Amino acid sequence: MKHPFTRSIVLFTGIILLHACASGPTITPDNAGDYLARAQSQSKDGISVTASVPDRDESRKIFKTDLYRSKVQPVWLEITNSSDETVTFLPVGLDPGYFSPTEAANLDLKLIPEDRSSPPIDFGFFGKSLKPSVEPGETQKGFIFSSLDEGTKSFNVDIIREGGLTTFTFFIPVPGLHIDHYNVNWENLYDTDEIRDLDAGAVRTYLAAQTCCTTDKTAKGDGDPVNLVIIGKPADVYAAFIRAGWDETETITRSTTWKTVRSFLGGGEYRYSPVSGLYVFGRPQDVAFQKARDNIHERNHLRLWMTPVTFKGLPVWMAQISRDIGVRFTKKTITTHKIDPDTDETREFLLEDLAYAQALKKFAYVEGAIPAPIDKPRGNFTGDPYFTDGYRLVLWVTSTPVDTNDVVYIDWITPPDL
Amino acid sequence: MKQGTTGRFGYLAIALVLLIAACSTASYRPDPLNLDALRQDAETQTFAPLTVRAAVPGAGETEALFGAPLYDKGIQPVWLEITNRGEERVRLALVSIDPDYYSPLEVSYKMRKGFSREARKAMDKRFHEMGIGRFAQPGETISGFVFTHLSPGTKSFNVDLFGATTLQNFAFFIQVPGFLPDHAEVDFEQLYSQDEVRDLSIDEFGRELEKLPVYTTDADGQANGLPVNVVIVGNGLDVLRALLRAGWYESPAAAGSRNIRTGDAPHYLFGRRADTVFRIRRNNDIDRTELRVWLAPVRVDGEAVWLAQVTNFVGQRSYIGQLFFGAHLDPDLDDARRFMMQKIWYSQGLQSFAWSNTGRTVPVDQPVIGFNGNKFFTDGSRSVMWLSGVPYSLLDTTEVQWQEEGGP
Repeated sequence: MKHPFTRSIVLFTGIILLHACASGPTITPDNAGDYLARAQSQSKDGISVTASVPDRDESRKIFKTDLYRSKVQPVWLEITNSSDETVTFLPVGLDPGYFSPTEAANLDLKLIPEDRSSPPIDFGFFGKSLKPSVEPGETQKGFIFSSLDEGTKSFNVDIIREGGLTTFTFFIPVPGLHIDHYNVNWENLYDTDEIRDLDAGAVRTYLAAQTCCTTDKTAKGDGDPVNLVIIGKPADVYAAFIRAGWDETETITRSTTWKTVRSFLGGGEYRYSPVSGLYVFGRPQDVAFQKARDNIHERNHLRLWMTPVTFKGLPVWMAQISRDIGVRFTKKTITTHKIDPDTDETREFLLEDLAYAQALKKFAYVEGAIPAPIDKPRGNFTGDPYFTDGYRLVLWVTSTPVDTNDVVYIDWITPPDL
Repeated sequence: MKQGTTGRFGYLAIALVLLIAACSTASYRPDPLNLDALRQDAETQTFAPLTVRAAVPGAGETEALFGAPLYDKGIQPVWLEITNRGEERVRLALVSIDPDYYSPLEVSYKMRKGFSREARKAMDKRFHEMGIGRFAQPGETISGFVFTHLSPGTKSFNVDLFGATTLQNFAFFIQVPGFLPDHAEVDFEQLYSQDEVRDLSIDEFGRELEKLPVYTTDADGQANGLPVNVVIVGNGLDVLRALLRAGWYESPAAAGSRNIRTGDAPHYLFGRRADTVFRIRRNNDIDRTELRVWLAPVRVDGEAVWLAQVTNFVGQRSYIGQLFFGAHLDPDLDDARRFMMQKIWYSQGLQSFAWSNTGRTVPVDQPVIGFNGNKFFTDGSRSVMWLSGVPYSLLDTTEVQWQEEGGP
């Protein structure tokens, strides 16, 4: 009897086959030319994909409406199929909540004039949308309407073939925001003779000896616990956090201050809001990431400071994470974010968050923060109490995906409560 | 003048602060902790050497346990008990249950309004103690709550336990007290008499598909509605689990005959309204797509067959916006169909699929209008999906070939 399932789609996922370029992702936008000039291309399995993301003004010109305002971001794709079989692009792989062209065209839908039952079909949108099927020897190009991510847009382009699934991963910086790390000159942060490469023993000693807590501008006082160490090149750190859904952070300018105030009052989402400077090595963080949850007052903040040491050639960063659980009034700063006092909980969340995003290779713990039991909490600069076991979590991040199962624990020291 | 305004606001602010202070005097007196009922209702799953028990308290039970109405803030606690009879320590990944779970002290902080200073301390203590730990040592049993985002209907979640080199996944589907889904009110056994239901082989099914209704109708069966663009094969529980895992959620029973989003009159098939309706949201936001499902009087190799219609919503992106200006159906039916199939596939619910063509192509520039006034266009294809209740590797999904090639 002929088995009905004759053609087997061998979906080679291996959960994700990110295409990590040798040079690592581009981390700043190219402001010259239009969005097509910024396009990035990748090829494999006989398929070439070129992708680009128009910024706010460019999308307004293309679609004659402010899609960014409706929190929709068009992504331009060109797919060339040089194989001898039909291939199909899967928009859910790019964004599980993508918008259909007619939906994107009708986001500011008020009353429907003609019959009040059906929205108009906008051929401007429909005609410019990408057709998912690409025949052998053909090229399809057009837009997919995704949820808005300012700063860097990271997404997968999943293409299904008869023989399997091919995944391309893009990180595309979109102009329009003043992101903090655009201004950092990583190469010149330290003099060459300051930089030392350490072995495992020496790096543990070094990390344990670093400051327990952030300080203020004058290097005085004890603030939040420096409860993390990140190991990886800047491009790896960037790709890992972006892939795990963290947002970049804008620097303070007139426009970002206004955006912050507006979102503070309205409780809306300003995902890239500037964060206050906390000090390590006598300077504010080199880069901050944040992960928005339900509203502006509930998000996780992560600050990183590059150290002058490397471990097996990889840069080592001191870092601090806190979970904002609300907003409260203070004498010193008028308002401040209330942090979850259980800082170890937040630290362990980050480990899981990065591992599930396949952005983590290895982890370990080192001493160095000061233990503060729950009944004798310490306080940060704004008087928020916190408690901790005093250990720092060391995370080796990666821009090439590592299966959650394959994350390796390095047993330097295991905190007694874990 | 300016000063006067500031002054008035100043007084207002002081009055407000005093008012808030006056209100913040309630003490925190939750019932004595009694988890017996939860424990009794808990569902148990074992993959030696690990056992996980899980239960989800309803809104009232949650308020009694925590002394605060967590459901009102969109927070749903999940109770877990993990027993480790193995030889190595296991780690519970809280993000496997909800990637954006709330920490215990965060929930306590969210619920603090109206409580006195002392009461807030007591709340913090209670919530912190009731949160589950992350580690179960060999021979140890740990238990406690994980605070998740409230999902309407049956609660579907994973529990991932990691050893040094192992991962054990548990999947739970738990009915939450206080919610009755629409499908619980339908007696599926009684919908058709035994001699009405025909059991077909795969090949017979392929031919039968062409004879099944192409469109839904209005209540009188007179005017056509929208194309039946999806066919699902699988027994009730498997279909339910595949849909829940893909992020679809159930409608409450007695939701009313009109579409609660668009106000449209109901669609009919086999002389009745949909047996069950599922919706899916975009990023915890607003409903994106709706799926209306009818049990068909056909079985394939012993498995139930369901006809379904999937449509996207179009309209403003907020509930307020939709309240004022309404939601509408997206004329692009093929997008809804592709979206539904891909959601199921990515969530490992698709065992196999096929295409079937109704031969009724409606081009985009000549849309047809159904009885509700809904415009639509379609390539005329139906997707046929065999769903799996347990995760089915994406690598193994197969395409069923009919004698004649179907659609895209």
